[in-house]
Amino acid sequence: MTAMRAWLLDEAPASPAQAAMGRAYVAWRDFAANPLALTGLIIVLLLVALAVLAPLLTAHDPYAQNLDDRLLPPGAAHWLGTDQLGRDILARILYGARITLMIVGLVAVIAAPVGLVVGCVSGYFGGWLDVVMMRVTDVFLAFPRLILALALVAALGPGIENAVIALALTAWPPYARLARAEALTIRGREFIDAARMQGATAWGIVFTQVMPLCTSSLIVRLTLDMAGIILIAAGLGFLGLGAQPPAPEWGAMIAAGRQYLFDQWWVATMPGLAILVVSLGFNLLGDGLRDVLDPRR
Amino acid sequence: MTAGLEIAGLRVAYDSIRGPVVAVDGVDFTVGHERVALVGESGSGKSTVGRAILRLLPPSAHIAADRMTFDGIDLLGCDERRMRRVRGGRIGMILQDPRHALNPVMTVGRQIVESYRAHGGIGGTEARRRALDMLAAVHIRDPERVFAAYPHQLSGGMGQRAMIAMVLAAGPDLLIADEPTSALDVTVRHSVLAILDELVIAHGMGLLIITHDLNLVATFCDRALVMRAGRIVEALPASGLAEAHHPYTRALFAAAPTL
Amino acid sequence: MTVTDDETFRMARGRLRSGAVLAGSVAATILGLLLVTFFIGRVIPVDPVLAVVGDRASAETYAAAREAMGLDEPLWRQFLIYLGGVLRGDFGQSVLTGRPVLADIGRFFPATLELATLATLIGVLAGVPLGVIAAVRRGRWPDHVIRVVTLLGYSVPTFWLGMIALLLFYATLDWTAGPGRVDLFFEGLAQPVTGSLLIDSALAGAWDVFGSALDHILLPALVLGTFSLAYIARMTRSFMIDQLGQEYVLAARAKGLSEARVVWRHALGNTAIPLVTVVALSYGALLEGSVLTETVFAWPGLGAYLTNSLLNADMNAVLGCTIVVGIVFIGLNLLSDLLYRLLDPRAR
Repeated sequence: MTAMRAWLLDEAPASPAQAAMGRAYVAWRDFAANPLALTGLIIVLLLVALAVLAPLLTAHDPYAQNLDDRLLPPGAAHWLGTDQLGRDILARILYGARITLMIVGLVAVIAAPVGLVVGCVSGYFGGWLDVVMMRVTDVFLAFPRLILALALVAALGPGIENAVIALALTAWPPYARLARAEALTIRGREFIDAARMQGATAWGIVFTQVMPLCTSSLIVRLTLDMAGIILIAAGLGFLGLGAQPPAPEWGAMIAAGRQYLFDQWWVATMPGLAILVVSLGFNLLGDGLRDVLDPRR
Repeated sequence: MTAGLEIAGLRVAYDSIRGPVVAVDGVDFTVGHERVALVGESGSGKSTVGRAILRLLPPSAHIAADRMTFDGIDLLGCDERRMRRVRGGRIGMILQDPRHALNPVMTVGRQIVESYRAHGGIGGTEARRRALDMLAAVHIRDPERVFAAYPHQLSGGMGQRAMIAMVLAAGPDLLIADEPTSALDVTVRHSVLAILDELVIAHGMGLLIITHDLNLVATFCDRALVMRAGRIVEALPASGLAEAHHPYTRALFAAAPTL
Repeated sequence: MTVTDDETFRMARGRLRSGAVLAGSVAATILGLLLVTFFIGRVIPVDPVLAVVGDRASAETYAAAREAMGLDEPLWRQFLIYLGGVLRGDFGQSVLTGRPVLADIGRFFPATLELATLATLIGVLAGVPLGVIAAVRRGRWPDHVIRVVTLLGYSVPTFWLGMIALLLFYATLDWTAGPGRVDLFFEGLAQPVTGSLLIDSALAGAWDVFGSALDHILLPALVLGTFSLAYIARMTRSFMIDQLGQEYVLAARAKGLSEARVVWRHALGNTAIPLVTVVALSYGALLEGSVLTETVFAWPGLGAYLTNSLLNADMNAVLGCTIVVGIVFIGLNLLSDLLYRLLDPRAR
């Protein structure tokens, strides 16, 4: 173990692989030394596990209505109580994790690549293309993001697909900014000149050389944004513009519990706690990742 | 022995991921009413020594010494209140680059006045008058203008003079000058040093100058201490640098450009 | 509520542009804003007329709206007509209230401004000291505690926090007033001058109204202020850590200044400049955050108006609110730009 450690921390690594692993080890040690970041990682992993294993973790059907058991307080049969239609709240939260993960995943999968392409092309080619693209990015950045998402959903019609589209449309500009800044510094490097002299086309260079190098900082940024996406998605659900009933979406569950707030507090409180914990997890993780990668802050 | 700075067995270590890193490894020297140079290449620990004397190192640094006193005051053992009176009041410190060492959003005058008020217990008007005098003493022709100026409005040489005025304001008995001219244009270095020298002699101060510039040492200092890898490897009269015995000093001297 | 740290740093850095470039960029951004809202209102919906008048409109209303929107014209002419209308302050009629959208916005906006201003005030007064303390005690327990608290502020859904606050402080403990802007009994008693109920009632010397209004605004302002507090505290910490590592801080310590003076006067003095941008951004974020908070607290502001319009598919009102808040965003950016020039001697 000690030999392993010494090998990883060797100040004169014998191979690029050793150097890379050494860097990764130091980064991991910084990360692991931060209990908050570790907590975040555990929460996020737990969320994924709970979503995947939901059917094994609860015997209740999240959709099964039972009006005899409506609005039961937390107890032995229903750990987190039941809602106004007698559905088990814990089961709904567990299955709801799938919806949350799906929204976050889809927005990430749509917005990040769009931002990456726009930013890399803009930064690498420069000129009027850059000016126009960055102008467009600025316009989207000037919009209040939640309100733009609301207006889009209002035009598209409520529903989870449209909520995802609206979120993705409002999420890409920061990634474009970030990717552009990276592309600008990569553009002037020697290996780009080398590739050009070997006859690579400009588009070829953008896709094979520039984009892969922009990806890592984008991923950190994405992690930091996850909590924000979760909150906006929950807000859309709360207003009835996201996932439609009877889907167990956490924001919509809070909205449903609102009229029972003062008498049956658990109906609205439990899904809210779920949102809080998960978005805190992403924030802790993103915060820790950034500390490791940017020690200045 | 009561006068001046006495240091014996000074050690400074920084925490790091690979365990403590020793920056200063058992340094002994004294500075009386004289001009002493601490020379060495970057990374030799000379700046760390200067900051350790005033206990101004970051929290990751651990300072230990068998003895570190100034005029009998125990610099390591005394409490923070006492130390604050030593800083500026007894021992002043001039930093390398006036563009960074002066607060960019405060006028030069206010920063000098602040020095007076921290130590002198004098009123605003009196502090202002003395600050203007001090600016004149560092050979600034238009003290009123410089008093009202922000640091970015001054040239490097002018900024460093203002810095000297600010540090000398509280009348310290020892001046630590950390690379006082290396950020300046070559043409003004000499005049800034001449002003520093003139004031040190006029006020009867001791001077500890931290530098890698051996020409400067030969011209302005009485003694030189050569540092390498956290230790003092040779101590000799400044005039004798050219005849140094230690191979490291000889190498340093050979590397210095001749003016 | 989605301002991120990176954006703030970028905005704080890319400050110094000339007046002409600034004016051009503001005009271009507003034009882009209108283009996007036009697109949302006229191109995305299957039947834009229906989107504007609602599905219960009579045939005459429908025909009149279709005429006014110029739907037979090519798209670029439609946009020019739309642009002309907006520039004259004509945002169309609200289906819900039956009045011009701009008049509605003028009626509801002051309540939102009052709420967001108080929330920002809370955020600054609590956030700045917390950020400074965290930076000074970096890596030790006060820093960790403040980090967890601010991350909680980042992570909590405000609409849910508002409900929990009502449950706890109003329904259970009865420490504060419930939803609404003022007790029903005092409704309409203060002469509206500024639109801020607190200021208006104080001006009129109606202290019972003032007391009731304060009682009502405190809870929503605190809930809304949590985000602002978290954001301002985090940015203050970050800026302060930067500043505390600067040479002038070392020089100030070497002069023998007290640690309090070094931190609160020298380092915070420099931190205040980029903080102006942070406060402006957080103010904008609060206007946005008020959409959900107002719904929970039945606060009669722009957010509640927007939510009602959304639920009734009242597109003119939705887009009107979007444009107004967007323009306020741009205005806040401009304001922070000007303040920056005023505060930083290097930028004058």
